[in-house]
Amino acid sequence: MKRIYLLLILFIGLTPIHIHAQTLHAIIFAETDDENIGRTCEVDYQKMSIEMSMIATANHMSIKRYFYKDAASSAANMHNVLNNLTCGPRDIVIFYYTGHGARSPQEKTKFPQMCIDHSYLEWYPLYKVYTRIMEKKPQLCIVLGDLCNSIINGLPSKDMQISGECSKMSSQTESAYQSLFSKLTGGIIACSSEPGATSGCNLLEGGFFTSAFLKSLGNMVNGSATPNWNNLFNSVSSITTPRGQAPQFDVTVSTASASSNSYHQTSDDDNLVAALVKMSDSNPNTSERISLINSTKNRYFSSDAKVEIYGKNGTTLLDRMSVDDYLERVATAYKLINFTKLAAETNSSGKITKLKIHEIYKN
Amino acid sequence: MKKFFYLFACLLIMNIFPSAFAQQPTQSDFEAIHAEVGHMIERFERNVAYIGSKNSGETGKDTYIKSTLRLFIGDGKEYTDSYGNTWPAPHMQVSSTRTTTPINRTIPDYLNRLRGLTYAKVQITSADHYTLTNIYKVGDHYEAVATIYQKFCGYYSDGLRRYCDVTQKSIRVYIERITEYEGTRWKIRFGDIDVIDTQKQ
Repeated sequence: MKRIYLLLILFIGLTPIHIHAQTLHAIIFAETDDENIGRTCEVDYQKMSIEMSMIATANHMSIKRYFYKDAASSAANMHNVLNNLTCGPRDIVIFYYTGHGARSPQEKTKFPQMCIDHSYLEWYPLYKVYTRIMEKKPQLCIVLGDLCNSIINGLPSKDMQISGECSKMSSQTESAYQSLFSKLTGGIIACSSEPGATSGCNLLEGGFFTSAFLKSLGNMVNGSATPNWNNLFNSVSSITTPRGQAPQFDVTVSTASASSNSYHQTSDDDNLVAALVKMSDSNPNTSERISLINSTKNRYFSSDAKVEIYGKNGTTLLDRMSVDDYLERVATAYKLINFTKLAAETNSSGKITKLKIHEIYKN
Repeated sequence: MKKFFYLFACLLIMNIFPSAFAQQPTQSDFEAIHAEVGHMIERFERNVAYIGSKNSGETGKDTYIKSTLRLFIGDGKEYTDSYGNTWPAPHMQVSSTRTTTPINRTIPDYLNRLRGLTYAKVQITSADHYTLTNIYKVGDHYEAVATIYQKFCGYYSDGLRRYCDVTQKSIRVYIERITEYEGTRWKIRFGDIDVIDTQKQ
């Protein structure tokens, strides 16, 4: 009998217990190669890329990126992402689109279609993205679209069922982010203008809705307002409505069941970012950080690679340096906890020759 | 004919005084630069603490010294600006409650002396949060001034405190738009660090 108990204890002790790390599925589709608005979409793309990293960092979540721009921002890729997306019950999915949009006179919801393809038959309703993701049953689903909502006569609505459902990180900032993301369950969908209206943009701000959204979110997580999605979108509306644009939004969220994520090993799906995080101030072992410099350089970079550091807006170039200097900077950094890789150029051997990066610090 | 003259004059002026038409920072640029300066100040304070600590490894200190020098104009050495003028290396003023006059040291000299202090234990911490002025225009570049509060304590081998003070220092921050082979960018570097006040602890 004792042997049975001993075997049982050994069995339980050796059985790996898989704790599901909470994952942020960050999906971005940006029409950056459009001849009219491509450059403003690029501004939005950079800013939202950074914000996705901020959200994952503040909520102590692993991040999985599905970023599509230029020719890769296509209906085929969107279908692939939505078809193949799998998420756990504690995961958060954020979908963001910036590009052209339009609505049919018969459109059933207040949200437009994304003009993601040359053929209008491939244009994809924003609300359908919302319902598709909600079917995967993540803890929280957020769908945002910065696109026109103007009517195109003759444009067919796309058949669908209306379910009716629906980037300096202080502890206060973290708490605010968590109040808006990991502590909620449900669904949120928003687009940049009311039915029948266009959406505006310029090269400085990018899309007006995206710019207002990030500004309102920033104010909220910095303590200027109580974190609350309805308040956030009301703030967005107060900024864009004077510019002739009334965002539409539906918020159906409630408090998620309490869970501790303090034991989660977060990860980044980008190997380079993961390597940099290992060298950064999130690693308390200073000697180990410095010892990783050469191996990180040899693995990812060409010998004469350059690194450019950008501000949170994704456009202000703050410094440019050799990869040697940059890796020493990271290995000796203070309060640097995460990175957003904005762009990377590689040579024929796959080694990075030029890296554009944004750094995330804790307060 | 007059129109052509005015157009020619404008083009001529733009070529003679290109800085007048150089990119002006936007509000978004200012915010990004201000945040970066804050990170640089915290990095500097932490690096100095690491370099002075007797618990830090010597190899690590080499890397930290190199990283700290890069925060300064000319990497802490004498430098030549874009107009061909040569400027002396930025200085770090050091002080103690035993002397009335602060002493100027070059940054490399200061860091190497810090590394070699003869105390058994050294603790350098921030006595208060730094402050940073807004960024303001000075001629063809921008500046800001940071104020830090550095607490220095040195101990005997038996743990008894040998010396302790808090020094308020100002850091000149230089921000300029430069053009390199790869393109233009902002360059943010520290200049002189001066003592404002030293109080015994």
